[in-house]
Amino acid sequence: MSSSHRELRRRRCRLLPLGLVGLVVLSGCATRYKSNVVPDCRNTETLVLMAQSVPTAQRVPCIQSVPAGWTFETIDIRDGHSFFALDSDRAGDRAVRVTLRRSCDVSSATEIVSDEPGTRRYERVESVLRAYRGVRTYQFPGGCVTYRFDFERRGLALVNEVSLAIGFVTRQEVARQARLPSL
Amino acid sequence: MWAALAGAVLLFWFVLFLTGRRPSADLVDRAILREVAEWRTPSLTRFMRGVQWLGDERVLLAVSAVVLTVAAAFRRFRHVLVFGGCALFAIWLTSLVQIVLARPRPVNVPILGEWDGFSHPSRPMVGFGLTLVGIAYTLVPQGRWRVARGAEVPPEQQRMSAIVWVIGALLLLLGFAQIYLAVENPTDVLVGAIVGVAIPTVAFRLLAPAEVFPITYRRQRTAHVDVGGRRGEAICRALTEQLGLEVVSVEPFALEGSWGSTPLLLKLATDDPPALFGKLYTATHLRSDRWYKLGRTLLYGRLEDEATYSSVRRLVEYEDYLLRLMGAHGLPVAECYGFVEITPEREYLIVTEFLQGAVEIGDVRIDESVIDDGLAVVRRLWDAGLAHRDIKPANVLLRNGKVFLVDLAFAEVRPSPWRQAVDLANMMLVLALSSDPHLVYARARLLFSDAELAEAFAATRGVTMPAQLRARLREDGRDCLRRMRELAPDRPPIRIQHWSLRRLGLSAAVLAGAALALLGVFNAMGDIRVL
Repeated sequence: MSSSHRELRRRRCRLLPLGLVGLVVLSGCATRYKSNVVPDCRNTETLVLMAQSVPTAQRVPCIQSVPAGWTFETIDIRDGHSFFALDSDRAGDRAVRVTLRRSCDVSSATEIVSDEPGTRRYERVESVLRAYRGVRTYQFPGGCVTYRFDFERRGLALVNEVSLAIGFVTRQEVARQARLPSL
Repeated sequence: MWAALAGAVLLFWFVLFLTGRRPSADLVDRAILREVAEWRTPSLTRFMRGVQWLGDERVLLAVSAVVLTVAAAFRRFRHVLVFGGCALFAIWLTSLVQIVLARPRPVNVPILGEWDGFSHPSRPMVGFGLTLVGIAYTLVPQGRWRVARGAEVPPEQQRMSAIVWVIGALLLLLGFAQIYLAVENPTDVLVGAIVGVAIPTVAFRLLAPAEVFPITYRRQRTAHVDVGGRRGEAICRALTEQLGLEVVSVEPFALEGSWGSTPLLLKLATDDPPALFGKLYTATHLRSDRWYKLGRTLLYGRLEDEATYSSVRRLVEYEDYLLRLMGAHGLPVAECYGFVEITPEREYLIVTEFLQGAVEIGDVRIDESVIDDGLAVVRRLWDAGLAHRDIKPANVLLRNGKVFLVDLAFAEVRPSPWRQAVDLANMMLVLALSSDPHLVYARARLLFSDAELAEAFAATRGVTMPAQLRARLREDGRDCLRRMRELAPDRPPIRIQHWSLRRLGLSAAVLAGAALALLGVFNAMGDIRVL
């Protein structure tokens, strides 16, 4: 056998167990740390990133508490917008999708009294027959947040659960949590 | 070096993971970002935003698709697999580390460029580095642009490749743009570049080393390997040490007729004989043989004795045995000199007499005596209980009016009557191509009964004929097979589509494997990115 082949085999033998151990460790990390990115109102890193996505927004949406039957599904944060979704065991997958943007179109929505201080609230109901579909928008200085409801069934109770689950933190509060002078 | 850098990065991540401290905007990163932000001008910002395009995921995906397509077109499937595997692994690793460390984008400096997700490690740097290194290892041959490295290369020749400078410059440019636009911290960019370069570098050097799988743009069949350079030297050394033959040159020979090995002309230092013939078998040939037989089994059922070889050694041992056995039965085959080991279990060379002056039977017109000789060879095969199983123009040679059989790798001892009948039909077709079907049939009746001839053409159809014979018959245009069938007594075709539990199981396994692979790719594309 040539020396290069022997050397190649030796290198493979040395690195293969290391690689396997590394993969197992990293897979464990993946399972454990997916919850790391949940936009919990106390999860500073995710909230900082969301605030960075819309630098003008004075408020950032976050999950205050996850009600029974609801689970965090996914999150996508990039310059210009932040988005996260929740699954429900009754309302279905991605039953509510929350998006933070610089501005929102509320021309076809109806303004109602807001339950979040410092914001204006708009509602647009698209369907209530067999399933509930609609868009709720909160506007505030420098940004807006939409909740897109896409339930597989009717249920005011489910909408109320979402209202209680999702809240806002101010930009200053996020900066304070991250121990930054400003954000 | 790249493995060491990757190790350092892993250690860095491990420390951050254990201590629970995230690299949130440390002092050095902030200082560099603030300093670079001082250089901002509108025109430079426009330029840097343009540079960001280099790390755009859509661009990288398109470039990678082109690279993989080109590599697949040149049958570099190992490179395709390694590159694809690296890309999937890098996407998964990057998104995993991003969520584990959850580092926000730079703070207190206005972000001017586009970004997506957490900052550490830099996803564009990982993707760009991986794509550039993937291109270098998949498309660039070793030479002026990509200098060979390794222990065998003398130190004075181990200079930096031009491609390394190009990749380095492009990575620096994108990295600077990311820092200038304050899209990422300097440590994110540095770690991203290391990860992006280290993953493919280590993977290609381990799994597709250039010395074993060289990049070349010369058109060649996969069965034919390069016999120059170190392999050529190893062949000469092995022939001297193991067979006592002093070889002065090793040259590829009659490649166009060979599909399953690399045929070689071995010129000797002596005059008696002046040259020998060699066939180099490698692990690649063995794999090709396995895939070929699997394909045939799925399409036609398992034809007789189409079991695969367990190793290259078994393959070459079998051919060596058959050459000696046929020689012992007085069949016209080249004298066997034995075989030599080039690389244990990977490469072997079988050495036989070189039939000096022999020509392929398909290249000449033949007369009755040659036809009789060819048919007599089949009769002797039958009498000896042997079958050649690969009778085609390239394997029937003619020297001084005498027929020789070569390439016995597929030959069989104690074949079934069906297999013997196929050998007869194929030999008659080979002879007919160089003469006249009616004449061949008439001469065959002198040696074989009508029943035997009827069976031969009832057993023969496309799948039972070697590819070269089928091609020559198509080119000939006389439809020799139909003419022979008309001359032979009527007999229903012999069915070869045998369904067996093995074939059903194999078909189900292959279909399930393909479906799972497709599903895996789609899942990997959709789910591998956690964010």
